[in-house]
Amino acid sequence: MPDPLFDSMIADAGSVRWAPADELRDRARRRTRRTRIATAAAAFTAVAVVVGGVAVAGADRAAPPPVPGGSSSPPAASSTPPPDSPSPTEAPSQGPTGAPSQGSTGAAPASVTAARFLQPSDLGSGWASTRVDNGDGDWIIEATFSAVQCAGNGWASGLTDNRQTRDLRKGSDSYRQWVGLFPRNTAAAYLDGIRAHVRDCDPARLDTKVDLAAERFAGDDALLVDFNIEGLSSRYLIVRHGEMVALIWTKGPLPDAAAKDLGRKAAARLTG
Amino acid sequence: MDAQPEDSFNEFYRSSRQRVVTFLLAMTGDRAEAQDTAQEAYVRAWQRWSAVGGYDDPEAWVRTVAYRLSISRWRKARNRLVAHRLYGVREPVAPPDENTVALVAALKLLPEVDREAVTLHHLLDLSVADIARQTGTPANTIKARLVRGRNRLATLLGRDLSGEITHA
Repeated sequence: MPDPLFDSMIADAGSVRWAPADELRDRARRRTRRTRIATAAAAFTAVAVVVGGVAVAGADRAAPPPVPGGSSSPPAASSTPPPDSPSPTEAPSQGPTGAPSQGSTGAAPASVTAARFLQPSDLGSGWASTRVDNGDGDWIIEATFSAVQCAGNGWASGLTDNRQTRDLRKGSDSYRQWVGLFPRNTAAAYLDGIRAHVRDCDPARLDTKVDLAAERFAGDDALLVDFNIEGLSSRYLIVRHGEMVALIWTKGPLPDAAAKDLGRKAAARLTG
Repeated sequence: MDAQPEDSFNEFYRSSRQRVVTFLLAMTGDRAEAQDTAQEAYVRAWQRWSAVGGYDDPEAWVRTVAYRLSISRWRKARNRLVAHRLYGVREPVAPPDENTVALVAALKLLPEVDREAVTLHHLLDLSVADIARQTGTPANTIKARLVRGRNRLATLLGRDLSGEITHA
C-alpha cells in the first residue's frame, strides 16, 4: 500500500484526462509509417548517390579536360520552385551585392524599413501600425514549434537577426509581423525548413496539431501554417521575395482566402 | 487462445497509467508534464508492444521511458511556459491539494536519486530489491537513499513516512 503521505498526490493524479488507447495506437501507427517512409527515402537516396557517382565517374572519363580558369558549377537551386518563376528569357534578378538572387522574381530591397511591412491601408480603415522594439519572444514560429515539442527534432531554423517587428491593431484585432533580410541564398532554405518541420512534426501532446494549410500562393514562396495546441489555434503566414521574408502571426480567425490575400499584399510590400 | 495485442495493451494501459503518472508527478512536480510524458511513453510502448508486452514488468519500462522524456531537453519547463504564454490554459484545472503542493515542494528538495528511491518504495510499494534491480544500484545504496530521503522529508514536512524499510 502506498504511504498515506502520498494520498493527496494520488488523488490529484487521478484528475488526469487520459487519451483513449485507440488514439495512442493511431499515433504510434502514424509515427511508424513515417519512419518507414523516411528510411525508404534515405535508402533510395543512398542508392541514387552510389549510382549517380558511378555515372559521374563514367562521364568524367569521357569528358573533356576542364577549361583553365573556368568557374565551378553554381549551387543547386532550392527544391522549392517559386510559383511565378521568371521565364527562361528573363535575366536573373540582382541582389544587393549584385549577385543573382536565388529564386527571386525581382530585385530585393537592401534593408528592412517600415515600408516593407503591411500598411494599415492594406487591411482597411481603422488599423494602426506600431513598431515593436523587442520583437523576439514567444510569438515567433520557432518558439511555437518549441512549445509543440515535435518529437525527435533538433531544428535550427536559420532565422536572420536582421529583422524588425511591428504590430497592426484595430480594436481587439491584431497582427504581429516581422520582416527580415536573410543572408544571400538562405531565405528559400528558411521557408523550406519550416515546410519540412511541419511535415515531420510529431507533437508530443496528443491534443496538438501542426498543419500546412497552403503554400506557394504569394511572392517567390509562401506558407500558411496552422497550430492547434490544446484546442486553441493560431496561424502563421510566411512570404518570401528574394532574400526578404515576412512572417505574420495572428490568433484571431483568418480564413484561407483572406490569409492568401494578406500574403499577396505582404509580398507586394516586400518588393518595394 | 492468446489475447489480442490490442486487448493486452488496453488492459495494461488502463491498469498501470495511474501509478505511472503519480510517480511522474512525484518526480517532476508538474501534473500536465506527467500526463504528457506518460502518454508519450505509452505510445512508444505500443510501437514495441510485441517486445515490451512480454517483459516481466512493462510498467517499469514505461515509467523509465516517461521519466527520461520528462528530463530530456525537449521537456524543459520553458516549453510549457512558452505554451502557457501563447495559449493560456484551455479549461480550468482544479488546483492541486495543499498537501500535494507541500509534498511536491519537499520532494524537490531531495537529491534526485533519493527522491526516486522514496517514491518507488513509499508510493509504488516496490521492494528495495526491486528498486535495486530496476535502477542498477546496490541494495545497500538504495537503503541509504531511503533513510536519507525519509529523514529529510520528516524534517521538511514535520511527519514521518509510515513503516520500516522492509521486504529488502
